[in-house]
Amino acid sequence: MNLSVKKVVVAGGGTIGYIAAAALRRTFRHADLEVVVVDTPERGAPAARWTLPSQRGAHAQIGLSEADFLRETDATYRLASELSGWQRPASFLLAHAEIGSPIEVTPFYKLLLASELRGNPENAEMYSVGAGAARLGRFARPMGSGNELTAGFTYGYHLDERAYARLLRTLSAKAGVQSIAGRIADVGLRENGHVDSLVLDGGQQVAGDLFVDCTGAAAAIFSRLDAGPRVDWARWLPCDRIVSALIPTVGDPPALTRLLGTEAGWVFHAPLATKAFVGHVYSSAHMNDETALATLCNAVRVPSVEPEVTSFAAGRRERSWVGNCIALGAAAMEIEPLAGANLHFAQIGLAKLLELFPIGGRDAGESFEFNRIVGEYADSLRDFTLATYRLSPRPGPFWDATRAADLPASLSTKLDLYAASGRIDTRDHEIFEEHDWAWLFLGSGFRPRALEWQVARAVSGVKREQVNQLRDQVGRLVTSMPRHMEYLQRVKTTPPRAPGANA
Amino acid sequence: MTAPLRLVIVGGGTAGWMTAAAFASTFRAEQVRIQLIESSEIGIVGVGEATLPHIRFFNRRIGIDERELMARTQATFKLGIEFCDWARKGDSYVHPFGDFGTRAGPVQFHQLWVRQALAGNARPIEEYSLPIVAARQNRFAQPSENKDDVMSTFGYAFQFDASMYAAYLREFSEKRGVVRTDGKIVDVKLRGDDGRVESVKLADGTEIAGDLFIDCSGFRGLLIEQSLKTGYDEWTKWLPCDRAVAMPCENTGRLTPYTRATAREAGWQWRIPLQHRTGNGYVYGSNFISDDEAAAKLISRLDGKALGDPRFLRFTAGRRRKTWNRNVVAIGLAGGFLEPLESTSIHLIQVAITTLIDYLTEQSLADGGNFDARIVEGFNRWIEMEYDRVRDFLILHYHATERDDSPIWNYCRTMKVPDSLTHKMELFRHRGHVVTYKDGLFLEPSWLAVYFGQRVMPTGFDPRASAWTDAELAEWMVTMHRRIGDAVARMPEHETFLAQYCPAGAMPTKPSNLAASGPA
Repeated sequence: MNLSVKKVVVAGGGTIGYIAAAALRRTFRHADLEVVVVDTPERGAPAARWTLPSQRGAHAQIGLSEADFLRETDATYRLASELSGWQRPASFLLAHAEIGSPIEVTPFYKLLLASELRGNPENAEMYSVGAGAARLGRFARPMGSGNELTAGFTYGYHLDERAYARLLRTLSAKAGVQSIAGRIADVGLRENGHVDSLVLDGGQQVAGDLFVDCTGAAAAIFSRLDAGPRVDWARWLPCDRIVSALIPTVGDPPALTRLLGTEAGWVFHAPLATKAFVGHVYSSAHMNDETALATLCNAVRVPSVEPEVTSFAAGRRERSWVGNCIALGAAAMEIEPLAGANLHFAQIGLAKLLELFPIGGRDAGESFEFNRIVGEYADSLRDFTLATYRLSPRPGPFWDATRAADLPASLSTKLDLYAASGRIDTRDHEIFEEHDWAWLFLGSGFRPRALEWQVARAVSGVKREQVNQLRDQVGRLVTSMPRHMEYLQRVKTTPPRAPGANA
Repeated sequence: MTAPLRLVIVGGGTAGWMTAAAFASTFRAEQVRIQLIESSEIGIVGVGEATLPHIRFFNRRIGIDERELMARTQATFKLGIEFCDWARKGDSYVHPFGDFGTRAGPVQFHQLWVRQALAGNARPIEEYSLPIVAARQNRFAQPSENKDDVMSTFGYAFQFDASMYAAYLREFSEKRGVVRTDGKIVDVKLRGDDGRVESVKLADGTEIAGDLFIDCSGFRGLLIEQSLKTGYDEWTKWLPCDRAVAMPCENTGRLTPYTRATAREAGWQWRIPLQHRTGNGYVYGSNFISDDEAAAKLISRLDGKALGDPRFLRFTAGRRRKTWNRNVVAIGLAGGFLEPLESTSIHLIQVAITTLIDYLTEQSLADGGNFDARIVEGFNRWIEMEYDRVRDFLILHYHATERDDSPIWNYCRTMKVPDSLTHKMELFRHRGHVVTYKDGLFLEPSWLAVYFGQRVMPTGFDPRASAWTDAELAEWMVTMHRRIGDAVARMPEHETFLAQYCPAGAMPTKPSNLAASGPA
């Protein structure tokens, strides 16, 4: 079969650019699609990052085994985020895990809500293997499909972004992706406004049929197009700067990302295998750079760091597919990495691009459909991030600012329905699922006024002994799991399996 | 201990008794006291009804035994709906309760099929749908639970006599404590402070007070519209049929495990086979044909001898602006009307009932109907979405036609449809892409059936479907085709299965193990 698009030019030499290039090439190898990456330095790319579980699917798609990935990118596992300083007391987890096992069709967390409404404080973490392991520094991959406890969690990663980009570049090259180093100086347009070629610094022109902008917030292609408006989210999400650094690792870190609320934002600590990625995400209107840096050093207990400082502007493009150009990742949307879904969001765009890959000269609504769906996903990420702030009672000018603006309707209806009935409804295209919201609501101490009557009845039939048994079983499972770093080491030293098999 | 919530259902019929049965089987008498008012003077709209597979969840949820229900309502099984003459006269396709083929990795089956079809070497797509192949051969068996078995690729529903269904649910409800009052409502009293319905007054002077009223009074919406003036969004510009005439006839020939909808000169005709008779009706636009002519056309097109006189119905396609307004929830025709082209009437009743029960909180029961506005809004948003999604799907049937033999088809073929539908059709025509959603009725296979069945043929397809060679693809298709053919050949005749499972008039003695046995 002949594709009408013969050549795709991917701008950007970071993680997202090479994932996109490899996936495009592999998906359309049968049509011998030519894929060229213009490897241009990505401004604002972090030194490391944490991901959602979907990264595993992305690796399967590009044929990357977990052992290779872990070895090459200094990666560790990630079962949860731990949020401290957002709520009193202590901290809570947002785990990639179910809470307990369902009571017939009723999610278990509703039982905890019922118990809390009767005045008994509950801790969801006691009923989740993923959360328990995260707390105790344990790890094992989920197993026993169908077993609600041992298969009831999943995991993402912490990874070295630059090493990851190098690995992906190698994989892309193996898949037949070409790479040209250079800086984009200009964009050549056709009469219909479509991009004809990228013009590099030395004058070289790279022509193509379809262009993918993975150049991060700089949006090297989109910023040169008449690509329509950008929606600004600063009134809800005032953070606009990140100071970050890589520091030596200490001890035997658990498989979780620590997120500590500060006077003007939050500090993160993401453990890699041999170092740690730390940073402070803050609002420059509420804190200056020096204080932000000092706050970071103090929070992660190091005297000083070699910091990288980057700015960002929370918001998204209304349209991230315009003409023959598609923006992925930060070129389409910028948001603080609180929920760890930045790479995931880029991959949603990539998946939609593969699904709606142009087949003829005419755009028959592909771009409209892409923009509609990707926009809904972006807004769902905004809502989840915003809800994390909105549910915090923390005082202070910055925290007050996060609570000042009226909520977007998509979020207020969700919070309202939950507040009235404990019901969590998700719409068609949302990144986070019911259990993710449940972790956030329970961890934030956000209690509904009442429960759905049917739910109340279902959970009232459960005996306390059964609940205690479940808790004990979770506890035993967790303590029988290996240490996180020990498990990691074991996977990394496992010899490769037969070609094509994924670890 | 608080007083029970006083639930008053206004109107019997399918909607009223389904509501009564669901509440009675969900709540205890000390929580909800259920009263249903119906007038034996006012007839119910119940005509022959065809259902969707979702009704089995409803039955299971409220504890209705499927075999008993089927035996009591002269029911037959339903694997889908056959549509005749919609895109062109002489066309026939089935909208099945099941999948077309099996997907290959990220590539959907139908994309592979389109690739073959455009190359001119595809078999008809219906041969890759087990429920269609079975329906065409008048066979039926229950699906398998084993996901690897091709017998797991379909679901089923029922065709039953709606007045028998209401009678059955009445008995079911009364056994569970529902109090039925025979009477005609002559007045509705609203509370002064907040405009909620306080009570209804019957012709004999009795006043019945309640906390929550369910308006199942039919299209007029006695409470929701006549008292509360909620308002109605009309969709007649897209769905121009506004009347129906119904007339059952004697059975002739074999019992088909499917409903038929045949496009006619001013609308369409339904045919619903039951064990004891066949339900028929003509849904038409009053601008396009007179009542007398419609009835005459219907009578001339019956399979067998007519039973009884023609009964006429009037309606306006659309949805009540709020399904739940103050302390009134409108269910059934009082909440909205979409013609029964895709058997959605009972389904929309079911959705309203189960959503209402799901959304009710402990506190709203205890508070004497002092409902949290946030719950009411959440409920209304959900119901709105369900109606709107069914609407677009129904419009597609009218719009995707090449017929130019009569004014109604000329109108529908050339009308401006909602933008959301234009977009969906455009993407499908261009590349076979189906715009899907997470919630709401009619998933991808349904859209595929109607697109392909009504000649909305893609001119291109997903380029990922080209990864295989022609020979590999052909072999894969042959294997799938054979698996389906073999499985159907092992299924019994629909009538044979019915006779064993739920013969009308004979109450099943013991649960049969037929339910568990799919073909090996």
